[in-house]
Amino acid sequence: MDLLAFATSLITLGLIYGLLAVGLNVQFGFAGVLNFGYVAFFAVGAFTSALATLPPPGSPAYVEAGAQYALGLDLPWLAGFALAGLAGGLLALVIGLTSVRLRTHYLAVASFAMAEVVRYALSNETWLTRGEFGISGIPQPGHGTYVPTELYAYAYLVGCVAIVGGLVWAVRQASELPFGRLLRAIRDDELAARTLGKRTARTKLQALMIGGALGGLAGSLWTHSLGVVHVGQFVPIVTFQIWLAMLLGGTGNHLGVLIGAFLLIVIREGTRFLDAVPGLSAVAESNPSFVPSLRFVLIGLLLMVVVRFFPHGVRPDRPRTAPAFTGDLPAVAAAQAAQDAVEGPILSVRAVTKRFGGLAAVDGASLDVARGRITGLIGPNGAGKSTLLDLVSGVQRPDAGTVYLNRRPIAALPPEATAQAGLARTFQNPRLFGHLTVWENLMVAGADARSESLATTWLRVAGRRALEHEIAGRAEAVLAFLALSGLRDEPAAHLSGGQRKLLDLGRQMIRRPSLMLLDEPAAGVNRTLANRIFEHIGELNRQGTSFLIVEHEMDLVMRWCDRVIVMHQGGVLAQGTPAEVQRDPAVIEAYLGGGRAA
Amino acid sequence: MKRSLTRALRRTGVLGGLAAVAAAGMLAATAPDARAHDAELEVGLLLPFTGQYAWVGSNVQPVAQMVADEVNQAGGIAGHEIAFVQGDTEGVVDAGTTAAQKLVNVNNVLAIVGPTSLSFSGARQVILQNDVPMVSPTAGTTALDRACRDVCFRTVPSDSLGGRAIARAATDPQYLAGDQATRKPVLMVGNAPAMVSFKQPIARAFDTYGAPVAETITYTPGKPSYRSEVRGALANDPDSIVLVGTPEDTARIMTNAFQAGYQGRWFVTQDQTNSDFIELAGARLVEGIYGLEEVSSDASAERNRAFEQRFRDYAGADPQIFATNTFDAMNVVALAMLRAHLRDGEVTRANLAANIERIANPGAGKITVHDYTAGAKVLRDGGEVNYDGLVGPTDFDAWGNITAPFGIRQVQNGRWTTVSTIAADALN
Amino acid sequence: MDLNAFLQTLVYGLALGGTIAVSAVGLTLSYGVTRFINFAYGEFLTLGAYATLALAGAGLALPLAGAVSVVAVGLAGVAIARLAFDPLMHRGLLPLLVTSVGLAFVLHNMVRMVAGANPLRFPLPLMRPWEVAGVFVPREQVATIAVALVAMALVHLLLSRSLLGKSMRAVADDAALARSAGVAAPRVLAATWFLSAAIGALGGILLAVTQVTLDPAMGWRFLLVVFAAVLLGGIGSPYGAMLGGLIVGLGVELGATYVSADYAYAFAFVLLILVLLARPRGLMGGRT
Repeated sequence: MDLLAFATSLITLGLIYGLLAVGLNVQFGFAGVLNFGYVAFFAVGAFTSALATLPPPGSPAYVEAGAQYALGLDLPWLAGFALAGLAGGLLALVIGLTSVRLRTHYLAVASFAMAEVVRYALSNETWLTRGEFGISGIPQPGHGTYVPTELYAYAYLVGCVAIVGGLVWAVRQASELPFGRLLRAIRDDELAARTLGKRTARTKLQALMIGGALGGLAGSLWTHSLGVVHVGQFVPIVTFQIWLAMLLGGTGNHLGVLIGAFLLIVIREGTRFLDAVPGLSAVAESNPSFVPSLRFVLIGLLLMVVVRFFPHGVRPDRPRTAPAFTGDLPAVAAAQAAQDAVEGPILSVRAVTKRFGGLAAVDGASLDVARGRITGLIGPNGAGKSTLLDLVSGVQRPDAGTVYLNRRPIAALPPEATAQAGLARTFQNPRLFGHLTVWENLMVAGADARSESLATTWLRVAGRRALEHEIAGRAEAVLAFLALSGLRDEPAAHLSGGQRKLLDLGRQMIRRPSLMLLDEPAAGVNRTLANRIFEHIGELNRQGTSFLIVEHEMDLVMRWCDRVIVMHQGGVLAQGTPAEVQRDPAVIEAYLGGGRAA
Repeated sequence: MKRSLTRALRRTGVLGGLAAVAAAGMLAATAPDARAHDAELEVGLLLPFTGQYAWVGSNVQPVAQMVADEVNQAGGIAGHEIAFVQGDTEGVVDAGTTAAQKLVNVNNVLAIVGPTSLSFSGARQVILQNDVPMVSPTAGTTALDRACRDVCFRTVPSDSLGGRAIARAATDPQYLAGDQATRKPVLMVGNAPAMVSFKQPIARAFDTYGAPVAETITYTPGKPSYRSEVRGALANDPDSIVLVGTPEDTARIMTNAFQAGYQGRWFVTQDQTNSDFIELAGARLVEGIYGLEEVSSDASAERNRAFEQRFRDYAGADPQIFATNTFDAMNVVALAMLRAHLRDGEVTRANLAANIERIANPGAGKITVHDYTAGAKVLRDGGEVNYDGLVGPTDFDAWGNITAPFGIRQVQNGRWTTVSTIAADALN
Repeated sequence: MDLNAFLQTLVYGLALGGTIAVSAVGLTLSYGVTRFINFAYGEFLTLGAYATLALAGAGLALPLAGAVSVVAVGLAGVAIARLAFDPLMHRGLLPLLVTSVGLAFVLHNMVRMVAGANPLRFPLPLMRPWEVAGVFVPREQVATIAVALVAMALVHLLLSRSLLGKSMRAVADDAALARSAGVAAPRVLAATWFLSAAIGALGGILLAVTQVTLDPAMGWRFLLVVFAAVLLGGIGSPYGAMLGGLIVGLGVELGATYVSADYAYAFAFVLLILVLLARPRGLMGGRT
C-alpha cells in the first residue's frame, strides 16, 4: 500500500513531466525553436490555475486557512485548467513575437534569460504570488466531495492519465497531419518552405503557442496535485530535466518523449536509493552532501552519455510510410496560366540592383520573360544570375529597381508571397527537406494553407480527409511523371544528386505555378537524366507554364529555349532567340568566346 | 530496415537496462529496508543536500548523528539503533515532495527531522496524510505558525518571535553592551523562503518600540556584490542595520558596507550567531556586531558552550547554523521514542507523535533534563521528564511552536559573547 | 549628493563589470572557434576559485596560488574538452549544448563532493576603501580592475599579434578554409580550450575577490550574467564581450540603486533582451 502510494505519486509526476516534454518537443522537435526557458510556461500555468481557483480573500475558507494572498477568483477547476493553457500560450506568443529574429544561441540564451525574469517577477511580486512563502490550500478538484482523501492520489492519477493521454493524442494527431508535416519541413529548411509559399513564421508561432499551452496545462496539473504553488519550483534545472526527458525519449516522437519523461523520473528518483549502496556513505562521512551530489554527477554523466551514444533516444523518430493511394490519378500539373487574363510578359524586371559590400552583384538589370515560353538565362560565373533569381523570388530584396509578375509589383514581397502570387523557384543545390520522405516533400509542397490550418487539423475531420486525398492524388501523379514512385518512402537526404533535382522540380510542379525559375536544373546530372528533366520541362511548358531557366549546358539551352537572355557583370548584355544571341558579337566576346560554346 | 530495427532494440535495451537497474535499485533498496525496519528505528532527514541551500543539510546531519550515536552507544531504544535516511529536497519544490514520499512510503521512517521552509509547502500533504511526526530544526517561517497540529513540531522559534527580539534588543539600551538605543534602523532582507518571513515581524516590532524602520531593502540572494544595495541603505544614514541573509550574503553585505565606510551597528539573526560565521566573514569585519541566540535561561548559555565543545570533540569542526536546533530536535525525537517504547512496548508514528509533548512540556512531578542520557535514565526509572534544550525550554504549544527567551550576543575580541537575555514575556 | 551617489554607483558597476568582462572574454573565445556556447563554462570559474583557495591554504602566496590555478584549470579545460566535446564536434549544435549542461552538473557536484556544501571564505585581508572626492573606491576592486585590464590587453595582443591568435581568428572566420590553408585545427582547438578555461579560472578568482565567499554553485549562478554580457556584445567577439561585461555590470548596479534591489539580476536580462530585439546579433556581432 505504501509502495503503491509512492509509485502513484511518481507516475503522476511522470505524466506531468511527460506533458512538459511533449510541449517542448512541439517547440523544438517540430518547430526547431531552441527554448532553454521552457520552465516559464510551467510556472505561469501553475500560478494562473492556482489564482483562478483559490477562494477569494475574505471568504470563510480564506479566513479559516489563515491565508494571505490577494487574489482568488474561485473559478471551477476546469476554468483554471483552461486559463493555465491560455496563459502558457500567450506567454509563448509574446516570446515568439519578440524573439522571432533571434537565431540558435541567441534564442537559447534569451529564452533562458526570459524564464529567469519570469521567476524574478513571481518571486518579487509578493502581493500576487506570496513570493517565497508560496500559497498552500490550492483547491483540488473533487477532493473530499467526490473522492475521499485516502483515495484522492489514485483518482488524480487516473484523471492525469486521461487528460495527458488525450492531449498527447491530439498533439500527435496534429503532428502527423499537414500541420505537423509542415513544421518538420520548416525545421529542415525554413527558406525552402517559404519559397513553397508557406507562411512559416505563423506556423512556427502556432507550434510555439501549442508548446507553451501544454506547459501551462502541465503547470495546472502540477499545482492541483500538490495543493500548493511556490516559485521555488520553477528553477532553470527543471528546464534541463525536461530537455533530458525529451532527448531520452527521442526528439520528434511524442510517444517516445512521454516514455522519456518516465525514464527521467525513474532515474531521478531511483538514484535517491544510492545511499543503500553499502559503504558509499562512509566514503566521506564528514560531508553529508557527498552521496546526494554523487547522484547529480551520475545524472549529468547520463545526460552526456545519452547525447553521445544514443542521440536519437529510446524511440527515435522514424521516416513515415506513405499510405497507399487509391482512386484515379489526376492529370499532371496543368498550370493555372489560363486563369491570368493578363497580356504581355509574365515577368518584368526593371533596373534592379543588388550590392554586397562595394560589389554590385546585379547592376541595373532589366529584362522580360515571355508568357508561355521557356526563357534561358545564361552568362559566365558571377554574372549575377542566381542573385537575380533571389531578387525576383523575394529571397533577397533589391537595393533598387522593380519587379512585376503579371504586372503586379513583387520586389518588396517576401518569398512566401511571391510563391503565392504564382512564382516557383528551385535552387542550384536543391533545398529539400532532408528528414522527410520523397512523398512527404511533395505533400508539403502540394498542401495549401487551408489544409495546414489547426482548425482543419482538429475540427474539420471530413474536409481534412478530402483535402489530403486530393493532394495525395497530385503527389502520386507527379511521382509517376518523374518516375520517382519507387523512392516514395525514402528520406530526401538519401537521394542521389539527379534524384534531388527531380524532386525539387516535382515539388514546384505540384504547386502548379504560372512561372518557374529554375537554377541549373541539369547541373551535375548525367546526360540521360538531364534530357529527361528538360523533356518534363517541355511537357509542362506545353500545358501553359512559363519558365526562366539558368543553365550552363549550351546545347540544352539552344535546343529547349524559345528566348535567351545573357547576363554579364550584373547587367543584361543581350537577349533574343538562341540563334540571335549566338551570333551577337558582344556575347561572343564576353562569354561564348571563352570557348564554352558547344 | 531490419538492421535499424535491431539497432533500435539495442538502443532501447541499453537505456531500458539503465532504467531497469535504477528500478531494481529501488526495489532492492526497499526489500532489505523492510527487514532492517525491525532492527533500526529510521528517521528521515528531509533537507536540502544539493542545490542552493545545500549547506543546511550539511549542518544538520552531523549534529543529528552525534545525538543518534549517543543513543545507540547506550544500547539504542531497547536494542534498536536509530538510523538516518537522507531525503534530498534539492531546494526544488517537487523534489521535496518526492523525497518526502520516499521517506514516508518507502523507507517507512518513524519521524522526519526537517524540512526547511521551502520544502514544507511540497511535503506537507504527504506528512499530514500519513501522520508522520515532523520536528523541524530549520523552518522558522511564519507560514508554519498555524500550519498543522499534532504531528508538526519545531525547535526553532518562529521568525515572528526572533524578529520581535531583534527589535526589542536594538531599541533598549539595557540589552546592549553600552550602546545607545537604535533610533534609525534600516532593514535588509534576502528574498528567499528562510528570510523573507523575518521582514514583517521585524518592521512591525520596530514600529511598536518607537523606532520605525527608515527603509526596508529586499535584495536578491547570491549576488556577487551588494554595493549598490548597501549604498541605498547607507543613504538613509542609519545608526543600525538589521540584516537577514544566508551566511555568505551576510558576509558579502557587511564587507561591502565596511568598504563603503559604514561604522554603525549591525544586528543579525540566529543564522549568523555562531563561530562559523566569524570565520567565514573574518573576525575584524564582524567585531562588535550583535546577534541573536535562542537560550532557555541565563544558565543555559553555559550549556550552549558545553555543546559547542562537545561537538568540536565529536566532529572536529565548529557547530554551524541550526546546530543547537538540531540537537534539541533529535533529543526530543529520541526521548519520545524511548518513552513510547517503555510505555507502549513499541514505537509507531502515532505514539511517537503523542509522546513528544509528554517529554518536552512541563508538568507536575516531571524532572527537567537537558540531554538524552539523563532523560533516558529518568524514563527507565519510571519517572517523567521535561526536556529543556539549548534553544529554550522546548515547550510546544498546540501548533508545535516553541517560545523562548533570546540571548543577545556580541562579537567581542573575535568571539561571540552573551551580553544580555530577553525573557520570553518581554516580547509580548 | 545625487551626483556623488551616481558616481559611486558607476564605480561599483565598473568593478563588477570588470569581473564579468574577463569571464565573458573566456567564454566568447571558445565560442569563436567551437561555435557553441559552453554551459559548463561557469565551472571553470568555480574550479579556479576553489583551486586558488586550496593552494593558498597549502601555504602559497595568494597571487602565486592564483597563477598556478589559472594554468591548472586551463590544462584541465583542455582535458575536459577532449573527453567531452571533441567527439561531438561534427554532430551539430544541440549535442554540444546538452553535453555542456551535463558537464556543468558533473563538475559542480564534484566540487561539492570534495569541498562540502558550506560556503568558504576567500583569504583576502579586509581593507577600508580609498576615498576620492567623496566617492569610495574599494582597494581590492581597483586590483580587480587592474588585473582585468592587464588580462584583456594580453588577450588583445595574443589575438592581434601572435601566430596562434591569427590561426584562432582564421578558424573562427571559416574553419574549413583555415584547415585547407594548413592551420592545424586540433592544435588551435586545444589552445583555445586552454585559454578559455584559464581566463575562466581568472574570472573565478576575481569573482571570489568580489564576493568574499565561495560556494560550489558560484560559477553556475554567475553564468547567466556572463551569457548576458557575451550576447550583448555579440557572440564570438572578444571586444564585444568586454563591452558587454561593463554594460551588464553597470546595468545591475544602476538598476539595484535606482529601480529596485530585488530585481537586480533581472535588469541584466531585460537589458539583454532589449538589445537583442534591436540588434539580433548583439552590439558588435557581425556573424552568426
